[in-house]
Amino acid sequence: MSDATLPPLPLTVIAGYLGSGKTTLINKLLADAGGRRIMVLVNDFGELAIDAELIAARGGDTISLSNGCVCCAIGGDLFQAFAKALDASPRPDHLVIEASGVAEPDRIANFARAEPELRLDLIVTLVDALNARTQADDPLIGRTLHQQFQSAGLLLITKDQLAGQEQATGLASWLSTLCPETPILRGEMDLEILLGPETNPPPSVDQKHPHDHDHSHEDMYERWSFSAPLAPDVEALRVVLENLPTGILRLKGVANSTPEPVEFHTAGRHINITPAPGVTTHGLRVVAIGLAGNLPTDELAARFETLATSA
Amino acid sequence: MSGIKIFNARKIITMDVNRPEATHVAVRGGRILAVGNKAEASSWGEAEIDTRYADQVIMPGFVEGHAHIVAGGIWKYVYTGFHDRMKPDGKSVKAMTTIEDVLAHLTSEERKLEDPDVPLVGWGFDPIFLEGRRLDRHHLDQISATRPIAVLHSNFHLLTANTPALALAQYTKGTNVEGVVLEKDGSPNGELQEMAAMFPILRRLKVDFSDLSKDPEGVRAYGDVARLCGVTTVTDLFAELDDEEVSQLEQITAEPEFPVRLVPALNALGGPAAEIADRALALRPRSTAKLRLGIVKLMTDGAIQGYTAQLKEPHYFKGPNNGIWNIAPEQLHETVALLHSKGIHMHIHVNGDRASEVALDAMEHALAKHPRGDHRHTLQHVQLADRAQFRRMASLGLCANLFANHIYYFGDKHYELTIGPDRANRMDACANALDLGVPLAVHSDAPVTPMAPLFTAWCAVNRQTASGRVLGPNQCISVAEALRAITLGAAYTLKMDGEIGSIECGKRADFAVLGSDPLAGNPRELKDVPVVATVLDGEPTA
Repeated sequence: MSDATLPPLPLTVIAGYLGSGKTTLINKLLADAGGRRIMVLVNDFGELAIDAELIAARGGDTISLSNGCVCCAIGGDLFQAFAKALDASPRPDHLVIEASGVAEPDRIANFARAEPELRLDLIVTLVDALNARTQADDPLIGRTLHQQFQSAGLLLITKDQLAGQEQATGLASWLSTLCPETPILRGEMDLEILLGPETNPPPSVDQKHPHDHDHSHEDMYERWSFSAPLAPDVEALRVVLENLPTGILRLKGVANSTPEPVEFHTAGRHINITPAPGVTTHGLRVVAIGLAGNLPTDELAARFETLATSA
Repeated sequence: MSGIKIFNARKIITMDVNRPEATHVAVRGGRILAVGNKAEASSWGEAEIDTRYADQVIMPGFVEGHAHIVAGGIWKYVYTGFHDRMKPDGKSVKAMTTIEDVLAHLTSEERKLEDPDVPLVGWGFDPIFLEGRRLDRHHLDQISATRPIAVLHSNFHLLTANTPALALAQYTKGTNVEGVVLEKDGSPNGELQEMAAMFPILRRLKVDFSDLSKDPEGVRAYGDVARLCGVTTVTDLFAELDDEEVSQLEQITAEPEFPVRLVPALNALGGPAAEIADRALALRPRSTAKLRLGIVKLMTDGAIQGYTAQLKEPHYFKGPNNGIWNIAPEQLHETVALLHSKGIHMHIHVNGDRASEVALDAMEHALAKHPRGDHRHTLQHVQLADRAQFRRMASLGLCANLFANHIYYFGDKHYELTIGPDRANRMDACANALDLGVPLAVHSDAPVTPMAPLFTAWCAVNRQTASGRVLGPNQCISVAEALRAITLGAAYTLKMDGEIGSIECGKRADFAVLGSDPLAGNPRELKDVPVVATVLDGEPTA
């Protein structure tokens, strides 16, 4: 049994039907992990395109990379896969599971919802702009696709370039009627969206101007951060997180609340608040990311200021 | 010495059309030399006569075509089921027909544990047969309020834990996790549904089904489970078969006291089809007389009782349609075509009629691309196939291994809840298979239901549910047909019918020895025919 005193291991599930681009996303993730030690569980090694120079060691069903990432084959047994991830030493920073094309991602995510040493971070479902509409009507697999859409915290439309603007837009509006609360991205997905912001938000230097606002990633994304000296009650925080305005892809924060300090994450529609006994700094800190021009910064500022002053 | 031994019996049921009945069988070097009366059996020369079965009935050793090796290792835990069951050591565990029986048995097992930190784990519990309040943590807390206790239900999809076990998983009041059943006040009541919710407890109590399957004592216990119900050839129909496991199986099956031939099927979900094919082909030549390697198992849908089987219209009767695929239908087409083209012998799990349809389509496509006779691909479970699908099986040369035990154990639930009367009456349609010329076997899927081919045959003959209802009398088959399905029929699905499955000259001398004649008795009592012993390669196994 591994060390239960570690913070829970965040899990991202990458779901989507065959051909929706899961392997492409994982290849990108492994090639540019940005210093995070990610464990990726895949169905099939054969399709991974890992740069030979990046491979540090290769075992039966495990490939270790020089950037700290590890890649394992699931082998059809989720119990074994999760047990292995939790027993890995050192424990990875993030666990990513590539669901099979017909997997219902909730069945995988439920392990992380149940297991105290895991934390469900995100289910992202990839949607093939060329084929998803036809597949969703297929009598054999249509129900599976709909389930993959419904359980997603974020939806990512892939192959949008191939499909063309019109078809991709049509798909996006169809998806938004099916899943009105789920943010929909197109084309690429940045690592910070897939795995969450890497670091905790910094405390603001100037308490009179607690907001910070910047554009990054070649201006594709926009970032907003906030800090306040007092931490809110956890239930009040939960209410705010459950009613966030649209346009936020990722939000992360810490609050030294009573009865215990917590860490909180939202990933699209998924919310989680977990105890964070290690947090010693005072107050509340938050960072949020959204698409440039789409992040509701004023609304965020208003809600978190109200929350902070109610503390 | 000639090395010839003759067994005589009250009656020998041979399953050989040329000599259906006999009284003597001569054996040399593990093979059958002669079958007939005393004079005929003695025709090969001087022989030692073994009279130990003189008052009994000899049949070909039974062949269990679909079971799992964990049925051996699971006996490490405490059996808590509603039916009598025999342990691998041959001792019988009495049926526990009330919650009080279950608790009393668990309590007596708990008192035997010296180390207070060792968990108590039960298995085989079946609440649908029990009256009164459903088992919960408060019942189990009566056994111990400090030792973690978990009781696995017979379907392995549910468990009930006591308060200390729930605390290990941090399941407390306020826990809101799918599958964690709550009491009115919001605290967990102890029942956990599906693997995700069970995982934190199983992991902390170190209950690992993969470990149980690979435990050498578990493998030996599996041999004994099979031996005790008359089985001389048994499958393990979903195995990982890494090098370490294969070496261990080679070693254990070579032990002279290991009482059965073992036929593990390689799990095709473990990797890409081309790799699975290569692996199966590499394993095949490592086969021995008692270890047969090379068959492959594919999974399509889930289980009917879990609402995860893939059903055609009109879907489920009462309850949600949660049908799952373990492999995408289009991927199944590719995998089946590739494995077939490489000459692999496949066994495909299909429960619902939509799953069987997809498997039939995949087979048709593979056979059109790579015509090949006598492939013996076998559809496993095939519980809801209609007559049209059986016609397709016949024309594609497929075998059907039907899950006859389901009729007894789950038939009432299928009739009332899952699929409704029409389809419940035609489920596990043995008569359809025989009428239409589909080679037939029947199975237990142990440990899901207990391994006991005579009971399985009884189910196929009587189609009686636990409540006494007869499901679809038109699908009942005769005792002789059912006996064939558990011997030669199952051997055929494993391509072993040339060497086992009947008692005839040249075949391996594998026998099941019975206390009475199943053909002469009342068909309603077929399940009660006692299994006295087995013989493998001419040698009594215990």
